[in-house]
Parts: sequence; structure tokens; C-alpha cells
Amino acid sequence: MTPQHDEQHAPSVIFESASVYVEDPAAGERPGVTARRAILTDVTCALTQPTISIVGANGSGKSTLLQLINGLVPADAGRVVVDGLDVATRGREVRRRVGFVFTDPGAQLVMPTPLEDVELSLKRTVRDRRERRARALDVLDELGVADLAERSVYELSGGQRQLVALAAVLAVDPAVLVLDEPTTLLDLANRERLREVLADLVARRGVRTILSTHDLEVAADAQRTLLIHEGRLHADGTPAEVVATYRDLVTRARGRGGAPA
Amino acid sequence: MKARQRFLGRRVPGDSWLHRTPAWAKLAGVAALSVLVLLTRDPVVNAGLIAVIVVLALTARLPLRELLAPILRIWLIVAGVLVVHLWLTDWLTGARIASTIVACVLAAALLMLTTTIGELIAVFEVLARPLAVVGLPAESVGLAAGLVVRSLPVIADLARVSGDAARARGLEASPAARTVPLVLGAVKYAQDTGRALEARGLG
Repeated sequence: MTPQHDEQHAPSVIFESASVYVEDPAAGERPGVTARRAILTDVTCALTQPTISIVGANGSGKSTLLQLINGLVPADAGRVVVDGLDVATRGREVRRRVGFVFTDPGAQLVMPTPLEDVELSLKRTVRDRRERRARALDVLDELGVADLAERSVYELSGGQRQLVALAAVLAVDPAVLVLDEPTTLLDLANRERLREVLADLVARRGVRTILSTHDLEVAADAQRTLLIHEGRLHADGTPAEVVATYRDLVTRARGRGGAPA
Repeated sequence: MKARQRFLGRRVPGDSWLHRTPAWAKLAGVAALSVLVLLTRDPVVNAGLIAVIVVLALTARLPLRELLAPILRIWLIVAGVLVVHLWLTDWLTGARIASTIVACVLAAALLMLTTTIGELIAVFEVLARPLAVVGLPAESVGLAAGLVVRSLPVIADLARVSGDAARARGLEASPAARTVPLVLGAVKYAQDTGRALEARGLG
């Protein structure tokens, strides 16, 4: 039975045997025969904690797992349910609840200035242009970047762009904030600033965050951590437990002469 | 970003009379000017219109370097038109075509320097309303048209970066070294924009 959106549903992101495949000519057994290669295989878990982190090597499937949450990537098998809404059948409603911040904010900022970009997010929900502008300025102010409102997005630093991308997502008041390696392109000061902002959003707005990261300190900020390894959910627990498992996995791979994670 | 690197699409923040003029009126002005220069085909009229555009920009306290930046990006094309016509036809034809290009680009630059993409999208949405009878939602058409305008400086910058990269590898004479990264970059920009809109529920 497909669950309906219901206020009684506990806030949760549920993966039920979720798998994603790609057509890969190189994976075929004979030349010219295209085979399916698994990017993500049979992931099953229920994420109910307010803060979740996901770790794993490059290419392990972390980003694909995150993109399943708002339907940017559809599941080829199994299903994903967000707060009682099946992503496959109610993608538009899910996307209204789930804000997504990409690794590279430059790929996310569509408009020439931060103000216009945040206004674009509000386009469908706030019809009045003056109110839309005021709301956009409020969100930029909340993240401490209101003074950049009319600057060109090309003139912003990486940290400023990341905050503007976050503002564009927060403008629509998402229940869940998904961030794909949000600190990868940031220097230390901006990384710390982003960590503070995220902690504040969780505490003050009640936003739930799910982020992937290679930064084990950032991963440790979460209440629960998942380790994705070769497209499978390899470990699931507290950050300390999962990071220990991850380190052990990397050490064993290096001992076998495998590629560093 | 240096002025020479900018191409239509950058707005100068401000509160001048031109900034406050409704976007539809400015868009109508650009359309009227374009029709006029194409109908008259007279370099003297074109020169007069160029002077009017410069005066309008000055009254709106816009820096001239911002207004002229797009011309600096296309000066080779304008010069090429002049040279080809001096060689093949006559200087008057060359001056007519070159001044038509400059007048239209300057008018578009004046519009873009004083108008946000959001304001333009709102006008495009109104213009697209009749398309609803053939099932095209005005909001989507307006947004798409606004994003096309928005992509102009991005593609222009991609072209510059591709040219710089080709020069850095000593391949400045290779059309492939210049165009392949430009095409791939443009495709990636389109994909990123689509993904960003979809992630915001606007796709």
C-alpha cells in the first residue's frame, strides 16, 4: 500500500531496498552488449533523527543516495518515502518538503544576484513581488549575507556562494535539508561558519539535515551516521562507531594495495 | 569581472529613473528601436539613436564602461563587417550594417543594465499568456525565456575561458580546442540549471 501524506506520520526518510543502476557498455560480458551496473544496491533504512551524516569513498554512491531523497535520481528498484510521501508518485510534494544543496553552489545559483536567486525560489509560493523581495531579503539576512543581495554571484567567495545557495533552499521553508558534501569547496573559516549555521537551523527552525561528507569532524556533528561502500549500506550507527568502521575499511584496503578512499 | 568580460545580462544596482521605469516599457523601447533601425537602414539615424542611448545612460548615472562593455566583446565582428564591405561593396553599406549592430546591442545593454531578470520574466509571462491556448503554461515559457537571457553572459564567459585554455596550451589556432570545451560547458550549464530548478520544484 502506498502511504498517504498524513500529519500523523513520524518525520522520516525511509529507503526500502532502494537500488539504482546505469547502462554500462563496459560492464557487458561480450563486446557490444550493454549491461546494467549497480550504483546503489538494496539500501534499506529509516532515518528519523534530526541530523544524519553519510560518509564513504568517492564514487561509493553517497550522492546518488541523497538524490534519491527528492527524486533527482529515480530508484530503479525499491522505493523511497519521505514523511509518508512516496518519492516516485508524489515527487513534486516531496521536493516542496526537501531542500537540496549541491556540492558546487555555482551549479545551483541560477540568477545573476543572490536576491534574484532567492526570489526565484519563492516564485511559485509568493505571488506578490514586493512581499517576495522582502521575504528573500529576510532569508539572506538570517544567514548573514543580506549585504551581498545585489552583488553578482560571480563576485562572491565560495563560502558566500554556499550560504546564498542555502538561503535559496531555506526560502521555501523545507522540512528536510539535504546537503551533498557542503564543505568540500570551503576553507576552514567558511567550513566552521557553515557548521554553525546548520546547527542553528536545526535548533531554531527544526529543520532536519541529511548530509554527505568526507570531513569526519562534520560527520561527527550528526546524531547518526551511515557508511556507503561500493553502493551498499555498509555500516549504520553513531558517528564514532561508523567512522571507526570506515577507518578500518580504508586501512584494510590500503593494506591490500587498494585505491585510497 | 572585468568590463571586457561582461556581456548582456549584468544589472548595475541603482534607483535611477531608468531603473524605476517598468520593464515592459524598456522592452518595448528596445523593440521599437530595433524595428526603426531595420526599417530606416540609415547610418545617420543609427548614429543619432546611439547618441540618444548614451545620453539616456548618462542621465541614469550608468558608468559608460558598463554600457560599452558588450561592444568591446564584439568589436572584431563589427570591424570585420566594415572591412568586408569596404572590400566587396562600399563603405556606406558597411557603416549601415555595423551601426545597426552597435545600436541594437547598446539598446539591449541599456535594458539589461537597469532591469532584473525577475522583472523580465514577469513581462515574458504576460507576453506568453496567449500560448496557454495551445497548452503552454505562461509561467514556464516566461521562466525559460528569462533563463535564455540569463545564459548570455554565462555562455560569453565560457567562450572566453575556452579561448584562454586553448591559448594556455598553444592551441589558439585550433577551432576544436576553442569550441569543444565551450559546447561541453554550455551543456553542463544547461544540465546544472535544470537540476537546480527541479530541486526547487520549478522544473
